[in-house]
Amino acid sequence: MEAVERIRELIQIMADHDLAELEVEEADLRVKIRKSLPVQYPPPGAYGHELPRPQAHYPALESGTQPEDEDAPAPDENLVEITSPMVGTFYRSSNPGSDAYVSVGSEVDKDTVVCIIEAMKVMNEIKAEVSGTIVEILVQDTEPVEYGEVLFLVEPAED
Amino acid sequence: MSMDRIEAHEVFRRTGPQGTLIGAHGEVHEAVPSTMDVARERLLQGVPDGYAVIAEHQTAGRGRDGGWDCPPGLGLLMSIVLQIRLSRSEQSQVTMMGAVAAAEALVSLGVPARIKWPNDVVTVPRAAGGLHVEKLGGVLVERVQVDDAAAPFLMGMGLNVNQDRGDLPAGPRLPATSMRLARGRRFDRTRVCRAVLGELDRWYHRLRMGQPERIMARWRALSCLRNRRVRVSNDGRLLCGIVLGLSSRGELILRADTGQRLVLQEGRSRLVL
Repeated sequence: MEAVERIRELIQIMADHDLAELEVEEADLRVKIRKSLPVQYPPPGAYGHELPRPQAHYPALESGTQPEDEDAPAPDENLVEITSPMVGTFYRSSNPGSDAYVSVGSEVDKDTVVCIIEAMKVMNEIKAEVSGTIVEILVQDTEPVEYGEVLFLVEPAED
Repeated sequence: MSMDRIEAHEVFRRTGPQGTLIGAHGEVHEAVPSTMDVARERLLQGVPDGYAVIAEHQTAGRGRDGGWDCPPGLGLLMSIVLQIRLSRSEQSQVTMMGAVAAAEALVSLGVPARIKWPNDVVTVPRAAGGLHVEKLGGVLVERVQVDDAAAPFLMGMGLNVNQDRGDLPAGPRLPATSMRLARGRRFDRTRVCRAVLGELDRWYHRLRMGQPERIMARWRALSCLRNRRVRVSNDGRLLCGIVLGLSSRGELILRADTGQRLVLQEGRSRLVL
């Protein structure tokens, strides 16, 4: 129901500002709304100045064909994922100078704070919600994360 | 130089308007590592909603730019415990409320404060060309996951009150200023503190009453960015355009130079001034 209300609000924003299209990506919604009139689309990177990006040498990504990563190890089915509950910025510590909440090898229980996800200057503590040992951290400090993105892999403790 | 003190017995008045939450209870410290740390302890000890922790000096203040650097006795540093229940999609209302309350309090004291998206309280000195703002203070919010049901907020606020040029930190992203520099006179910090707590209480009641649209409307009116030309760094790209407004979730609505209308979320997007 909330999504419907949000879309209604976005349509209102479009009407208020006479927008032809609107694209929104947030914690629980990803939507592109477009008026039925034909719209001119600039080529990727045409707006603003493209800054150097590490993946820029991957032209295949632009044409929509995802290269298969054949070297990726088979996922360990016993591991538990800690995912991001929201879109935001990932921080491993409470302050830039502080120690990270957890590192590979850290033992956690369900109430252990493992990271901060920041959005709109609200620092959200994220708890492990599982007992076990951190075996992998998949996101770098200060990187943007998506809703549902895997942040940590945890080897669960045996009960 | 004589140094005034923030007097707890004058700040926290139990005789305020009925139903006062913010400004009714709290404590004032000479020095603490961070008012956020103390507020977190108080939260876990079960203090009432709106409880305020104020300090003359912080030795390890929060902030991704290295914390709010403030010599003792010149600024206003506080953290407020807010027990309101909000969904993740609503939580930006707390940041907006803090910025609105701080700016409104300063305006009531004669300082022409405005808000810079999303959480800075600024002045906009008349300057030739471009958008030039100077930072008076800011708001930072922490959400504490107490248990599955409760995730209250700690709102931290720092304001520059009686700093002279030499007292202000060099090197933050925005040039800093103070109420004193903006108005050419010193301020009674206890009075500033009461004005800020009073505005916070007023706007917090609106949030608790389910009226975030009133906060957003005031935020928009106080924004220094509307119809301004800005540059925004967005996922490694630099976008140029005109600010059209603010969505109810606090996203910036930008008309890019290419004609595209974009809704930009803080965190993924940063203003480049």
